Parts: sequence; C-alpha cells; structure tokens
Amino acid sequence: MRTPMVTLTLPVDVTSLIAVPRSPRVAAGLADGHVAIWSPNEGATSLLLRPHTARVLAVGTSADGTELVSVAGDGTIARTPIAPGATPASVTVDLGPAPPRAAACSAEGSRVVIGGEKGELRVFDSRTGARTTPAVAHRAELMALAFQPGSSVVASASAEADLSLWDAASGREIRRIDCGLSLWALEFSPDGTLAAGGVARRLTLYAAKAFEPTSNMTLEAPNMIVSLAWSPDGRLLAIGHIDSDTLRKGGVRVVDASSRAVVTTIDTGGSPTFGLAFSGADTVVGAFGRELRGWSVTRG
Amino acid sequence: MPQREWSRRDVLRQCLTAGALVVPAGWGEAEALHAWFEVQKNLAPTAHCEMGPFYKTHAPAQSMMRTPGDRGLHLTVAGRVISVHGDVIDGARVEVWQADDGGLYDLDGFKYRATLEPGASGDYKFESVMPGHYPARVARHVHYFVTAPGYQPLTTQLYFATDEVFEGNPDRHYTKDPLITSRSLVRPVTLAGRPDAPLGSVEFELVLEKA
Repeated sequence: MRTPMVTLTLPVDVTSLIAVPRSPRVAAGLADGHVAIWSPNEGATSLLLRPHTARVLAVGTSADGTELVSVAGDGTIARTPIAPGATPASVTVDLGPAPPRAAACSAEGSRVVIGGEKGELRVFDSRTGARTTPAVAHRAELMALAFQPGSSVVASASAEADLSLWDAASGREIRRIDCGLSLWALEFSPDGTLAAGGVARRLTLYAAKAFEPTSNMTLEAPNMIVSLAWSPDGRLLAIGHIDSDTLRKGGVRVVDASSRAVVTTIDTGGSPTFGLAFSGADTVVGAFGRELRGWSVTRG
Repeated sequence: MPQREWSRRDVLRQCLTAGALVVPAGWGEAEALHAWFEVQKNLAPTAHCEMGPFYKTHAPAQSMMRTPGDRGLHLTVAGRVISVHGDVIDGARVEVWQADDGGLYDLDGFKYRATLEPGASGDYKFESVMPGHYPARVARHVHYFVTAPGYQPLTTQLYFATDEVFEGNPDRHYTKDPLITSRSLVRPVTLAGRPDAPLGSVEFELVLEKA
C-alpha cells in the first residue's frame, strides 16, 4: 500500500488529466476553464493557465510538451504556451446539437475529437478549427475517446458497449468491437497498444495495428475500471477502479503490462479516481475531485 | 405503418365525399388531407435520456424478467412504439434494463434485462419488479434503447410517479433527479390484484422520430 507523497488542492474539480511529454509534469483540465500544470516534485505549487471560461473537456500538448492544447464545453479549442502569463490562441467550433460527452487530443496536439450525447463524432484541426466528420458514429453517448500516438487512429467507445477504431484522416472505420458492457477508459501506450476497461471489470489490450485482443486481465468483483494510464516506457499500467455496488469506493493498482502482475496497490483512502497519469517514469498522479495526488511506484 | 396511414386517409376521403368533413371553398382534397394530417402530427417524440453505463448487449428475448421469489412490487409495463404521426412502427426493437429491488444491476448475467420485438402491432409488454434506488441515482428508473428501421434511435428512461423522492408531487419534484429530462417520462402506477399480492402496472408509449 502506498500513501500519497504529495497532494495539490485546486480551486475546482479536475475534469481531465494527461502527462506532459518530456517532463515530469501533468496537465489537469478544470471545471472552470483553467488548466493546472504540476509536478509532484514541485509540492503544493502549480502553474495555472486560463485557456477557457467553460469546463475543460480534454487536454493535450504539442509533441515537445511546450504548448498546451485544450478543448472546453463551450466549443473553444485553445493552444497555450506552457509558461507563466501565457496568452492562449483560441478558435471556437460547432459542437453540434447534442451536449459533448467526451473529447481527446492527438498526441502531437494537431487534432481534437469530440463525441456527443447522441453518439456523433467530430474531428477538428486544433489551430484552424476546420472540421472533418468521420463516417463513424455511435448511437449512444460517448464514454471514452483516445488518439493513437504517431498515427491518426482514434478509439471511441459509447454507452452501447461498442468500441470503434477508425482513422481520423480518412474517416474510415478499421474495426468495431462488441464489448458486451460499456467501456469507461481507453488509453494508448507509447507503441500504440490500446488498453480498454470498463463496467465488465476486464482490462483488454489490443495490438497496435490490427487491434486484435492480445490479453485480458479481470479485476475481482465489484471493481469496475474507470481510468487508465501508461508509464512513458509502456511497461506499467495504472488502473483506477470503482465499486459497482456503491459507486463511491475505489482505488488504484499498478500492473506490469506484459505479465499483468500487480506491481503495487495504491491506498487512495477508498476514493475512486476518474483521471490518472504518470509523472515521469515512476510516479502515478490521480485526480480526486479538486485534488491531485501523487504516489511513487517502486518497480520490482 | 403505411397501411394504417392510408386507412385514415381513406376515412377522411369518405368524410369529404359524404359531407361529414366540410372544408373552406377552394380547398381540394389534397389541401384538406394535408391540413388534417399536419394537425394530427402533434405527438411529441419521447424525451431522450442518457443511456448510462450499464447497458449490456445481447439481452435475451423475454417478456417475463422476474422469477418466483423476487423481492419488490410486481410490475407490468406496456405500451406501443409509434411515430410522431401516431402510426404504429413495424420492425421496432425495444431493449430494457433496470436494477433489482435492492438497486443493483446484474453485470454478470441478464437478470432484469430483455430484448422485445413488438412486431406489426407495435405493442410491447414486460413483467418485472419495481426497480430499487441505485446508489448514484435519485429516482427509480427503467432504461430503454429503441431502434427501428428509418427512425432515429431512442435512449430514454421510465420513471414512476409513486417514487418517494417525488413526495407525491412529481410535477414539482421531478427535477430532483437531474437526469430526468422531461416530466412526461414520469408515469402513474396503477395497482391491481389483492392487497396481499398487489400488481403495479404502467403505460409508457414510445414515440420515435424519422431518421
């Protein structure tokens, strides 16, 4: 069991969380439009940027990690240098008639995908706001979205318990998978392996190109998977889980992605986390309401 | 569906011919029929609600979802699948799922999950129990996912006017559950049977829009 090495308390709830590449920092989108840039090494201080005035749906960065890309519920997409006092460059896009439910930024920050309450998907250029509408759509609210690093492939999961892999450049669907129960979390590893988990309590890894399932790991009942994060080297996978009977209790465990052996179990005080990210190679950061908590992970 | 619509048109034509329906001078049959059906298409589509996380694919075709000994008020839910014009929709598929009396969803099996195919009549019906309060939700509810060729998919939820969270006044209190998107989704419950073995029944019509 691990206790948090450090905690950062923010003004409002965290809505999205990613690792900033080539640095030990994470970027946390907030419910009021701010984005906090933080490293557990920095203790209780963070860089607070204000790219939006509405709830942040997703955050990403440029490939070198110097520029923040973010999208908010009011349809603004912003690119903001990660520096004190930086001014965002924003475009406003049409999110469509249904409220947005999920969003993701591509690994190098050039594209943003947004999914709505009725299953519609829209892809936007993050600089110009130009829109491409993929041929792919779902029939129910989007649960999770993720871009594959180094490609234009998107993974999208809806409440109809389906998972679609499709190309954001062409709109072409590569594969659609009936998952039986809904997915809550989708995360690509640095080499493009997709990790997917949700209500079925099962973590499934899909191969980078064909997206065939390569391995499964099942959590004991009643733990459902609600959040996932890969370590930068792709060897570790942090899994956030929640109790399906109460939807209140939860925790985090870190597993070896190859063997699925548990590397460590993190004591979150019984709280579930809906956002996870690695800070550097050996620190896991989780979002808990207004708090970011970081734990060191000792590899075996 | 077209059969029913033409039947009503035929009746209207007869009414025009027989003088049972009088229209303004200058109106032809086409104008009269158009005006009549425009007035008739005032059914509001059933309000959309989110699907939520507990939908499960491949629910069995079964109208009896409860088993002997199940806890909770026995409940019959019935209705029709129709268009905004009031026409029966043939070929609809109605998937329903709900929590048990204790408020828990079956994630491992298919208890309280069903796929119903109303067929040409558009009528659907299932036997269940009153769903319990799921911990993360305010009101008791049954989930629906309705699909039909040529129509927009409908995800919605049925709520019960008897739910204690509405304090006997759903008009005033239905917004206590932020996921209830319309008062029209909260339906009255009719009790029948014996006092020691009551059976609740609810009617819930499903109105779909063209794709």
